[in-house]
Amino acid sequence: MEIPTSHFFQPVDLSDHFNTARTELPDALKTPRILNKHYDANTFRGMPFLLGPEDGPNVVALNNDAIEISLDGVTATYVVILHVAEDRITNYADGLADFQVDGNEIGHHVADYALRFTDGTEVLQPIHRRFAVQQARHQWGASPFAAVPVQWDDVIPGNADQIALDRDDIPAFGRGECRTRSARDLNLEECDGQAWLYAMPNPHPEGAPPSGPRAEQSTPDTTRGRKVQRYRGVG
Amino acid sequence: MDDVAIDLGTVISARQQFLYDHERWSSAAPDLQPKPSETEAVIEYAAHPQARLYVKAADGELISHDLATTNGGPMISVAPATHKVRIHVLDKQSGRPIGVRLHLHGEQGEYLPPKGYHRKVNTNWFEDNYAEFANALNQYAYVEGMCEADLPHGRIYVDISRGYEVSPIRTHIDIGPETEDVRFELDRTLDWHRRGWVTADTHVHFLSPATAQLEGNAEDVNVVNLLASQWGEMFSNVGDFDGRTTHGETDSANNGQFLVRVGTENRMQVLGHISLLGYRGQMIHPLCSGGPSESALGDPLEVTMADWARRCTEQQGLVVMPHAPNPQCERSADIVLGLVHAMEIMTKNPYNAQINPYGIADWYRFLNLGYQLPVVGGSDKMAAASLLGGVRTYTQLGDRDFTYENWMEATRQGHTFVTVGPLVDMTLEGQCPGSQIHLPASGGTLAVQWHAESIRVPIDAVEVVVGGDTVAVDHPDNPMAASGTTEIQIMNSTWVAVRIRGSYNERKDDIAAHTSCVQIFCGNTPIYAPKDALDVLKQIEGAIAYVDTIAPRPEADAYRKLRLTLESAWNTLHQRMHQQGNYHEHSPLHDHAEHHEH
Repeated sequence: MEIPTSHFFQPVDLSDHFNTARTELPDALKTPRILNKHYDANTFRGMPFLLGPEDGPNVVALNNDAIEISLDGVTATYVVILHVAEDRITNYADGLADFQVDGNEIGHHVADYALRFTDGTEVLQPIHRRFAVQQARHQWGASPFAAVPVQWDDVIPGNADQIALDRDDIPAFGRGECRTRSARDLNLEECDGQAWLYAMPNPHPEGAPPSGPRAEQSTPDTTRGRKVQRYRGVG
Repeated sequence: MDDVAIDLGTVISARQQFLYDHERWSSAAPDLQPKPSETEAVIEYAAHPQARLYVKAADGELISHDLATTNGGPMISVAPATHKVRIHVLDKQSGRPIGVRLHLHGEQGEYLPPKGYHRKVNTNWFEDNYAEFANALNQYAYVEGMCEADLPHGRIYVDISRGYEVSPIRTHIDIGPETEDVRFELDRTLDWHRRGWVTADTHVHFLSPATAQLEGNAEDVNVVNLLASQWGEMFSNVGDFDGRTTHGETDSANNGQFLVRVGTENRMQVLGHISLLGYRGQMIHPLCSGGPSESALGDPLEVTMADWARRCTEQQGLVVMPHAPNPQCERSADIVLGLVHAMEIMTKNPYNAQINPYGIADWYRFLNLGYQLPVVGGSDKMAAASLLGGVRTYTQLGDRDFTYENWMEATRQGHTFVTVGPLVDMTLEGQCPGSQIHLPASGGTLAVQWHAESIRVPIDAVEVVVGGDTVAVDHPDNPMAASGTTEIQIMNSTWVAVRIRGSYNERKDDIAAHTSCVQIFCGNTPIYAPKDALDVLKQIEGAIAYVDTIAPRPEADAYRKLRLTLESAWNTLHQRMHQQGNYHEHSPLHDHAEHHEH
């Protein structure tokens, strides 16, 4: 059943910032299968997103230059960003464990995001691997600590229910027993990777109590993304 | 199956024929897999003798065959398996019946299961959790002492094994009309059990206790830890847990040598999993928390693994951190807080993948910070494709009698090794793994003595590891038995262990065994590695970030409690880092202070 997106959210149009086509991205940034056919307006976890068009540049690849995205003076508690870092090998120990793309590199600083307010002040958010962002492909158990997969967790009908309702779609036996599955696990089994939603908080949303010196600051005017080393954002 | 049909009958299966190299069948190769034929299929059917078989050719044409005259042309008849034979398997020394893993196949490569076992076992997760194992294309049944099988007349190829100290048998027998019984005797070539070692799998799911005991017996695994848990809306082995029974203690047929104890694996999707073995009393709940795939959708994050670990210890259990290196999150906090008794290396099937070097390197991080964590091995068996005891723990009991409780105590003490085949022991100046040696602040020269043996997996290299670095390598002339002494210079507090390279599949870099470590302290200097401290600290920071952001939030008191636990671990390690003058960065989330480092 199709339902409207949550009315608490509005998408940000990145058309002026798309600088790369997905098809031009290297393997380490290959679009996860879950997003392969997603272009233009989409809903992830109930929230509206405006992805890039099928033809032409359709993602923001953060290179060395910062980009600034106007939020047109919108008020918001969070800016939700759909993004992914490039796959890379994790090196635990030279010559012993230095060859797997396991995604357990923790804390590597890949980018900075910032909210700039109309009064010129700015709040900076460093983006670290396994915190606000993670690579698309990783081992089981290496999902990020502070970002969620783009899909909801799976709910799987029980086998007995499907049989009783005379439905043909009988799940794999084990899955039918569990009847639920984390979207984090889809990365490993079906999606050839995952993309992540990170909710960057606005510490000074409109209506915040004037209890602190920053409470008087104005609403965010722009978000800014700057690459620290190598980083990609998917619009 | 879509391209094969019978007019007066039913096609049961149509599978690629397995082509075995029978010339090599009796060789000592650790694993002999057949090749699936690209042109031949074995078709099982039930039909009227005068039925016709139809096969659709690539061009769509139907080719028919008269089943009454199957021999000839492109078809041959596989000899029917209808002759009942009793198969006896005995211990060569005692003449007693013993448990074994048994494989039989016929001249056309067709698997011939004993009665009561699958012709084709289902190998997916939570499918066939019975006394069977499927290693790629080879299928096995676990039997104790004797079984019956319906066999064809002619040559039968047999593979019988029983763990890592008993020489396996790979041979053939000829079955004729008069054959009623066949007997095999297995020889315990190595006998580390007699020298005080006992074997264990720390991590098995889904089997019944009786099946786990049979598989333990047949794989020569003395202790099977069968772990109840939760999988979304499903719970496994919960009814088998009573907090007091060790199955097999009173099994006189096996002298109480094969035990099964039901514990729990308590799990969370992001914070991690923790195995609680052998504890007494009530089951530690919640079995899982924090939502899918571990607990139910909508569940809040109610507890930390630290809370589970404390309760397990209070209930006289053994706390094992399973399947290193994943997940890397809260377990670092629990190790820093001293709540973990052992680190598990997990291998589902060593024929495919042996001891994970990432798991080993991850364990080294904690050893490099002075946490004396014995290494243990667990299969995490959840399917017929996993081998119970494929990776196993060897624990030296010392003077203790063999009981489950003594096994836990000895494992905690740390004289252990993990293996997928070769057996290895070491001492450092006469001290065994789990011990400490104290040297003057200037250090000294120490002698490492090691001894390794194997019956199947060749020992390609013996490596002496100091603080995670390989300081000496020996390539033994005899790949089945080796021993040696190596002198090492020690200048800083560190640890020493022995690692064995060797492979089922001729991959020279595969890790086949690893001992736990002996710690060395030079003066009052602690064992401390700055980089590893930072890696561990980041994992704890990750746990805190998760609890503060995306974790399903519990009620306020529970949230405060679990955050306090994580902060306590963070503070403990952070203070150590400062004491060591360890300059480092932090990875805070959302504190909006400048990204700080000191």
